[in-house]
Amino acid sequence: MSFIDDMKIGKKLIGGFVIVLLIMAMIAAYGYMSAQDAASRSKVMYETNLAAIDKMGLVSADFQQMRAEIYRYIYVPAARSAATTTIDGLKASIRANIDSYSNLDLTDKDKAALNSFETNYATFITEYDKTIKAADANDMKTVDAQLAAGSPLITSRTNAVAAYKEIIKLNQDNAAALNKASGDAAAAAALYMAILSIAGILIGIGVALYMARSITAPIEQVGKNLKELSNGHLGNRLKLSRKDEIGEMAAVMDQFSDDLQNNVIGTMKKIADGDLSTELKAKDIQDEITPALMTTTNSLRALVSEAGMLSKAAVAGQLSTRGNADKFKGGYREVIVGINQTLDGVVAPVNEAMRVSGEYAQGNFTARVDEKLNVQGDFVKFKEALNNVGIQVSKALTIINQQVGDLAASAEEANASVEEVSAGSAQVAKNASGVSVNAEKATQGVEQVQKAMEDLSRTIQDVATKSELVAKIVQDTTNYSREGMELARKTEQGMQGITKSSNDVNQIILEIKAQMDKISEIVNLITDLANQTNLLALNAAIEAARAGDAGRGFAVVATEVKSLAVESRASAERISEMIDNLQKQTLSAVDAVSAANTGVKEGSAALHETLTSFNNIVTSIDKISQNVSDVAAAAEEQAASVEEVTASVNEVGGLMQNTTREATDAAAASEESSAAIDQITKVVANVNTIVDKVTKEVSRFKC
Amino acid sequence: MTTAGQQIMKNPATAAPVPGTTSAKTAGKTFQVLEFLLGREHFAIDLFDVREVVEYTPITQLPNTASCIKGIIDLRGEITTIVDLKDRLHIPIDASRKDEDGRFIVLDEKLTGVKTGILVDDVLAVSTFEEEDVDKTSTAGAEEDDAIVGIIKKRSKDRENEVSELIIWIDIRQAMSIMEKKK
Repeated sequence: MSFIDDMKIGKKLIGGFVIVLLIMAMIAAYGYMSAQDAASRSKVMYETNLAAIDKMGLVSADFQQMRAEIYRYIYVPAARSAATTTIDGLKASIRANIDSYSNLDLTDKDKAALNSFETNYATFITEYDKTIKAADANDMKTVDAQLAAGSPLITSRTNAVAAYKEIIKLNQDNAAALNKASGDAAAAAALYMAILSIAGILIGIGVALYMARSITAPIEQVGKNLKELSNGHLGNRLKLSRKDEIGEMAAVMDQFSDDLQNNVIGTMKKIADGDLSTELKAKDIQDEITPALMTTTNSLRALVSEAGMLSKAAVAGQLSTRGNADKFKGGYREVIVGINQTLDGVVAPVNEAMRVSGEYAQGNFTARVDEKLNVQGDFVKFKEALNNVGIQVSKALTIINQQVGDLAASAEEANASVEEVSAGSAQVAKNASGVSVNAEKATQGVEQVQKAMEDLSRTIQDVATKSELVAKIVQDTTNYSREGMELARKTEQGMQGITKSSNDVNQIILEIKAQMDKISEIVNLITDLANQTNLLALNAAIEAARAGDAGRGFAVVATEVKSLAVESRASAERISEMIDNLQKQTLSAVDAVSAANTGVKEGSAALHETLTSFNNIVTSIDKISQNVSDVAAAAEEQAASVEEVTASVNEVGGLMQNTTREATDAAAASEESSAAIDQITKVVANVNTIVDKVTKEVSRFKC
Repeated sequence: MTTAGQQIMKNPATAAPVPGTTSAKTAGKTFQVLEFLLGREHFAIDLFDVREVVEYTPITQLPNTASCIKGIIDLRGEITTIVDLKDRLHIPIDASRKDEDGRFIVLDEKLTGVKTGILVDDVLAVSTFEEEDVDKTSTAGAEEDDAIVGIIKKRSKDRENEVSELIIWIDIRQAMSIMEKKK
């Protein structure tokens, strides 16, 4: 869209209006077309359908009149000629209307209906004429036949009437269809017009908004930039790439900003930084900025060169040099005059100070600054300081003189004292050597005591070591005893288990015995039963035998029963025997178990004794252990005592050695003191010499 | 043998009342006896002299009777005299054997007229023998009033060896008559 930005504003506005006008023209064209369409339809309706209906209406009227005329012709013979004229007129009228209708733009249906009418009409006319001729001939029979219902005349008339009614109806339908089409077209046209109008309005608004933005936005930017410039913010540039009037304006404004920032403000900044070398030329005669800038630069240059000259003269000590104030104007002139006055104010006090300093250098501290000299400000302090130097130095010299005198007297006294000290230290050295000899003898005695103590300590150490060995052995023995006890306890538990098991066995055996007793009872019962059975069998046999032949069979049964009874008894006896054996074995098992129990009890008792013995052993060992520990503790106490004694003796030895050393040190110190005293004597002599010199020198100063 | 047997049979038959012989004869060549034990020996009596065998029941001793009369018992409401056959036949009494282990053989009432039972150590069996199994000659050493009829040889097979057991056949009628005489 940048091409729009590049267009001139006038062109832009015209273009926008043209677009809007084009849209309006399109809407108008469409409306016109729709109106034309509606008009054409109306015309068709009017020209074709309305005319057709009109013609047919005339035809219908004529036709009906013809239908009536025939009756007039027949039944009113007087009016026959008038009727004939009317009928011919009617025929001509119908023919004319039909012809003019057939010339209209007809559809196929219309044509079909017209043909049907024509055919029937022709028949009708033929029959009509035939009827008139019959009437002329007074053939009333034929006339009646022709007028009767179902005759060719009536049929053709009816058909013709139907045909032109059909034509009217078709034309009415066509007109209704056209009317409907017109209404639809009008509604469509209204809808399209509305859509087109809305689209046109939207496009127009869009174009207007874009235009406004394209013109007002850059102008606002320019205004903002101008405001920035007025606030002194020169860094902003518009940099618009457009080529219309606003673009040109922006480019000029950017150039102005560049000029202002680079040339004018750059130069002013340089001046502010002290760089006066910038040379600028006026752009034209009307340029005011550049000449003003250059005048400022030149004035400043002259001022700088004058100030430089004065400062160089001051550095070179030419205090009489002054600046030429006539060369300058206004503020610059005041600067140079000020500098001249400063120089005048400084030079007089400096000259007076130089004189007083010279007096001081000669040793004359009585010299003072001339009271007549008019000084102000800091120079008052300067003058007082200079005077003060003279006063203070004079005072100090007086005190020094006095002190030096005192020092000389003190040196004399020191010399006498030093001699006394020297004699004392010689006596000390002599005593110290005596102490040293005695101390060495004492040290030897102490060493012998130490040796004896070491022997004693070793013996006690042996006792302690042996006690420890004994303690260890005792500990081992205790452990073994404990293990023994533990084993005995475990064995006892085992014994208890065995006792319990054998009790269980005993119980089980007793139960078995009870069961066997029961079995025995049962066996006895069986034996008894077998005996009784036997008896019964015998009696049966006896009865059978007595019964003779009749009892023979029964005898056999009795014999069998008897033999069974015998067998039962034998079996019962065998069982009884076995149970007896078992009971015997059970009893022996019981005996064995009780014997085992006895053994276990004895073992248990023995174990108890063993446990008691072990306990006794442990108790005894504990006692031994206690005793050994006591011995070890006693030995340790002895060792501690010996160590204490040794320590004490060592301390005595140390003290002795210290005494010896100190005695030696004392002797050495005495010798050193003698040497120091000699030095002090020398120093005192030096001091005397220096005092003499100082006295001589100080007397040279006046104070 | 048969004739000899019959003749021998006649001796006791004449001495004793008829029914025993009659029964022996009706048996023809065979006869039935009740075997029982006295001490260590087997004895037998004619089956038709026997009424029944009953278990031992406590005996009520009677005073002033022969030593062989053991006493009386109540056998199903009837007083029955019990005779100790061992004592009657002079068989030594085994002290270890108790009377309570024995049995009573109740005799036929026709024999004695009163209800009588004999005490034996044990009743063994009802057996059928043939005439030829009986040896009647071997009782020669016996006394006059001896009630022994003969010796029955009972053959039984024991591990393929034929062993003959000797059963002393006594005439209980004789034995009882002696008892009655003494009475």
